[in-house]
Amino acid sequence: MVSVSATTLLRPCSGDAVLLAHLRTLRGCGSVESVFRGVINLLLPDGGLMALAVRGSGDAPRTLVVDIAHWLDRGVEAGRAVEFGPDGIALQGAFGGLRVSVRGAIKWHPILPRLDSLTPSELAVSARALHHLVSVDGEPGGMLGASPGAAPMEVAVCTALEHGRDALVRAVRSSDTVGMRDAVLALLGLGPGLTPAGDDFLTAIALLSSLDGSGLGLFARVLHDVLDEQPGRTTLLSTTTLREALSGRFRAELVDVLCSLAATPGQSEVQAIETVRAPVRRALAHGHTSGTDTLSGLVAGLHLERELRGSL
Amino acid sequence: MSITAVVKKNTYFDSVSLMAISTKANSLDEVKQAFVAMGTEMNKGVLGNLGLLTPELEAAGNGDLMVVVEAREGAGADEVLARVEELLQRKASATGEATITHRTIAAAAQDNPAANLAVIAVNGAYAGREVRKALENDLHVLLFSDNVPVEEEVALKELAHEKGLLMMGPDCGTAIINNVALCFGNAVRPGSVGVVAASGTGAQEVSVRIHALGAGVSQLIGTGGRDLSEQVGGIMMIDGIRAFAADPATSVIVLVSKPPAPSVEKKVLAEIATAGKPVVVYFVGGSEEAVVAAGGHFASGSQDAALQAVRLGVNPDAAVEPLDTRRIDEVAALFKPEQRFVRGLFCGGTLCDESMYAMLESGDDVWSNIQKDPGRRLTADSPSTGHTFLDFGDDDFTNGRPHPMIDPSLRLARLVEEAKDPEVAAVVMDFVLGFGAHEDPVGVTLPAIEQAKGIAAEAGRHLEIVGYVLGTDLDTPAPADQIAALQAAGVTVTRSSTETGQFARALARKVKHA
Repeated sequence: MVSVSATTLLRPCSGDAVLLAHLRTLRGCGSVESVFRGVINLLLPDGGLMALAVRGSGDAPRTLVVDIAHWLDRGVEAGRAVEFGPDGIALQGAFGGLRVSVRGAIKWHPILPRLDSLTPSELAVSARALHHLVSVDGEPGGMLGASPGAAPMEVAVCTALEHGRDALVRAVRSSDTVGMRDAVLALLGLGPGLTPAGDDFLTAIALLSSLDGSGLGLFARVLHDVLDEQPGRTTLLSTTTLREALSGRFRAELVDVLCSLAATPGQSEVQAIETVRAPVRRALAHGHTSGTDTLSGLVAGLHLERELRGSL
Repeated sequence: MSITAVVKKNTYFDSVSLMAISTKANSLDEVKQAFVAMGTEMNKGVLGNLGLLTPELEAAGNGDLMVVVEAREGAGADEVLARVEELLQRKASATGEATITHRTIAAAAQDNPAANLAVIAVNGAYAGREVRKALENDLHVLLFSDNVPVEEEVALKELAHEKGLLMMGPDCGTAIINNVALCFGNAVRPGSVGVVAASGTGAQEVSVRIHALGAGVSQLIGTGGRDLSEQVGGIMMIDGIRAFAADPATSVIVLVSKPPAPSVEKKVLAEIATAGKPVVVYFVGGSEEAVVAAGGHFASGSQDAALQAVRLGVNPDAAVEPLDTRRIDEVAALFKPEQRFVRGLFCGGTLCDESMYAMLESGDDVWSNIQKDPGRRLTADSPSTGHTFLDFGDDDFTNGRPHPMIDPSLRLARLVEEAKDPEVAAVVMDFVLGFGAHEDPVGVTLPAIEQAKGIAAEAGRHLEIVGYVLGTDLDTPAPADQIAALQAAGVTVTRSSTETGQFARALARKVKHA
């Protein structure tokens, strides 16, 4: 049991460089949005969301990784006030105050690869390699379909996800913006978790759309508009993640997968599977089905990139 | 269709927890199906398509958690919902009894944030990796697995030491932590005697004797049998002593080990002076002079260790009854002149060691698979010779098979073989009770005892079987029942491991001089 009577200063390990710059000038009162073992989500004074993650967590947009093993014995509860000031972030736990310094954090920038050098056939190889690994190692219950023996409600969600995915693929292929909008609305917020499966799927395509040379610009515009028009369509965490992805910013595990895919030109599908296997497994470990759902979106996005390029 | 729904405002669970709750809820007998999800428009749409959308659910926001339960016929919807809510509450408070299978230590730690100890029992080749994960998740570790390389043991114990955690093991079969017995531990009453032991059955015996003397155990920390070896250097025993020194609930400390490496013994004894409370040292075959010089209390056996600890910390008037020598005379009178030897067949290594050392102290030659003297060391395949004492829990016997406290088959076969030897006067055996041990160690042995006695009788000999039942009145099965069954089969029952050694030694002397 940690014994904390007065204010405890927590050292930052690393942080999203954009967030760090923002925090240096941010002043005012926010609140604790949610508390988990590995992360505390904070509502900023400007209404945005950020995360305080424990050491060992991967870097991610709007995330500050702090030198602490877990948050559970600090007595931090959702709804508590959080002060953002020149000395960092101050929050109150049941056993005393906590102050997270921003100074000294290693700055993290997601560095995305370029996929425009991949030929359509190389994109197809990388998509098939990724699909193989996700099919074998992924978790059902979301974009991979219902788990064996699933209850009718899970089956219904998975069926709706499948329909939404098919509709989106059809609409993107035919540059049908109305169809894209309907499909995005059909997927957004669909799935039980804090980042619903449909959102995870969309997030990966959004990230692909941000890469140089992507043919998914139209999709990105539609998604952007939907998020602006219907901000309450899904959870705040999910909305924030989607917006960051549209700006080319996503957690390090998926960026690693993209970088490994960029290293597959000239490889056979079997070789490509081995090239991407390790980062894919790390990405699949995220959440319950989140990793699987996100990589399913990446598979769909890579196929769409190939098809859209072929039509140019 | 009986549908009940509830909306939890601004309630967040991570996806792994949500899935666990959902799986658990769907496995409840009264539940036909359950759905736990955030209150987004699309999730509400799915519920609407299934005809499950109630006005309350319709009002849920995207930051709210929806719990929808369809009860089976005959089950009350409200009652079922209460059970699902209990799962949510349990998850939220992280104090409930989850029976979820976790695929990783990290997931288990995340799902059970109040847990601070991991018991690891996987193949020794992979055990180190799992221990490291547990330690990195700030969990104390009891490592039941054996065959872990000593270099790995040292690295893991150093990591644990740096993090202020216990790394009990490898090959650690016994611990009692906060009154919970782990692995082979016995049901012992809580008390103020702290035990640090590099010997599983030695720890069991000392804790059981403490209980028998009316006292109890604050904590029993197992260190693993190699902790006091030259390579490991007693890392965990020293940390254990320091932990007890700082523990206000512990009034006296007992150290238990098979013979330690001399340099490590010195290092461990050096800790005694700074402990600030009495320390009783029972190192099998250890030096009284060294212990006394270090400021400790030397124990000549496991019973003496328990007795001294209880006298020093709990009850100065505690006492044990002396050995009944009349029974030895009665038994010795039954043997033929050629019956000159005692054979010991033990499940517990320290119990075997204690009896063997009792024999050695009287100057007898003793052969054993755990003999320090290489000239008198036997393997699992060796036939018995002279006085032979075998530890069936040693690696040589357990390679590829369960511990004899779980699977006694090898020992039973050996008992029958010993009965065929015309030079054998008595066979000494232990019967170890405990949480992980065989559910009826005496019952499973009785047919072999009967067979062995029959073989000897057919040859016109009396074969004396001496048995010791290690356990407390709180254990299952009850020691009293086990003892009664042994006595009904004509077995002489001893009252402690120490008395077992004394009885074997006295019997050996009698037949030698008969």
